[in-house]
Amino acid sequence: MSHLPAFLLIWAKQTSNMVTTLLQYPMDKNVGGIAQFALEHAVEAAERLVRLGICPPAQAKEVTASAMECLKTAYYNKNMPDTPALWNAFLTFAVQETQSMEKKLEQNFGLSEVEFERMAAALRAGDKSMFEFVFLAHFAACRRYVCKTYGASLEDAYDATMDTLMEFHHRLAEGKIQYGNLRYLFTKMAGQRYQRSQRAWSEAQSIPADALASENTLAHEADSILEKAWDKLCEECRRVLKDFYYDKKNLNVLAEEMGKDHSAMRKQKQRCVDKLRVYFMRFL
Amino acid sequence: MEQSKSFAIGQMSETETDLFLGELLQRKFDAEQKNTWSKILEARGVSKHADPEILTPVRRSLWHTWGRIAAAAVFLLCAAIGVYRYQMEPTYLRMANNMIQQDKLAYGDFRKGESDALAERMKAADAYQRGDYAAALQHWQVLKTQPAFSYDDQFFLAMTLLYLDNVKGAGQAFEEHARMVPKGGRFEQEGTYYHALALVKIGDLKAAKAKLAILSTSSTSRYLKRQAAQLLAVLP
Repeated sequence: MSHLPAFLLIWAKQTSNMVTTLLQYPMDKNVGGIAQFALEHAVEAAERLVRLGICPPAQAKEVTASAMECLKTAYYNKNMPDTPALWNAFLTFAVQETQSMEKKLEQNFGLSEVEFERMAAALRAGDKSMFEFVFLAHFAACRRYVCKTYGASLEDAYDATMDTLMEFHHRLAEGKIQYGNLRYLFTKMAGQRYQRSQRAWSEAQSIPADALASENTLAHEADSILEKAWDKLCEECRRVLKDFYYDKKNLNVLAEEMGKDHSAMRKQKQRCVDKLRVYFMRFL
Repeated sequence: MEQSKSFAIGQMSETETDLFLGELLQRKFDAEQKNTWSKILEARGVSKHADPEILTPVRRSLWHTWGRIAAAAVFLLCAAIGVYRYQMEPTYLRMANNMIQQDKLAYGDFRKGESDALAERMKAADAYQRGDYAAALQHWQVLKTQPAFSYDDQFFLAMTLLYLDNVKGAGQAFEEHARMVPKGGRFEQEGTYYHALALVKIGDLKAAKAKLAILSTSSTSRYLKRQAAQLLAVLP
């Protein structure tokens, strides 16, 4: 059931594409005919693609939909061909679409657009398993890229890749990363992170050592107080604060998840912050 | 510490509190998450400090890159030389070489059922069968000094020289065989055929064509007839 929203999203997208096509080509006598062909033969077309070995079963539906779209465009305002010719054209487009899909998979860590949407939806719901499965599998390759391209040491490349993984995770959960060329984006981000860290290191050389140490100590102390205070908090407050501040869930979503109304949720969050404040005071 | 104190004594506005706690909790949970991922990666053999797969990455990758480029260059050079030499070799010469090599004439095929009393012939035939043509040649030459040396032996002596790529010696041996073999005798036509191949390799195309022309019209062996016609068709 957790995959349902992703499927619904794709279905909605396909329906919207179909409506857009009909609106786009209102005068074209063929669109209706080919749209009907697409509707009537969608299942048979997908089966043919699998039978002919053009694409694997998992991609058949997606390839069929794309190839049918190509068919509509190709025969826009042209005479409607006979059925065998239509099938031939469909298969040609299907081969092209499969090749382009394979390229997309390669560029996106083996994820199709549907799988990507599913992974992003799972991340938003707090399920990291798919993200970890996909991205941790490519961690070593990305680190190797940073080593080779930027001449980074193993440790620095590891840190840059790990930081990128973290940032990618947050941005995906926030819906700020779109499907396209995830591999390129990820490796570029890791490279830029490495370069930034090198620049920061160079700049840190010009800051007096004691000032730097004092800044680090302050951050470390705050972290240490938080650790102690956090341990004292009740389970429910931990969940509310983590969901709100770290997972960036707004109060409406939290209220819905916890079966409360907005104002009760707001009050509860405030009570939790106050509790944390009290513990902070205790460990200062 | 200032910020922690401000938060603790309630001097922060709601927005400031949100920013402060957001930053603090992000640091805490990011660190925990990274720690979890590091453990998973370590279990898969990817650790921060040692990765046997990419030790000294830059130098190794450079070596790999240049090594591959050098290997590809050598391969292309060899391929180019091969193609050049292949193209320089005339078709008829390639065909003659193929014909010599494609179905090597076996001694046993023709001597089956005969008793080889002579030890030298046995040794020569054995070496010939094994493909040890250098040893075979020595035995044929010893046998040639003996009265039992026959025109069959002369034929296999010529074949041995041909397989040793001693085409001039083979040509002479085949000429000698042609003189020894009676009309319609064993290996007479084969002798002519292989002699023609040796002549092609020597470069005496006129003599080769004469022999092949005879074979292509009057040979009783359909195989030899076809082979001779094919070679004749490509000879200049």
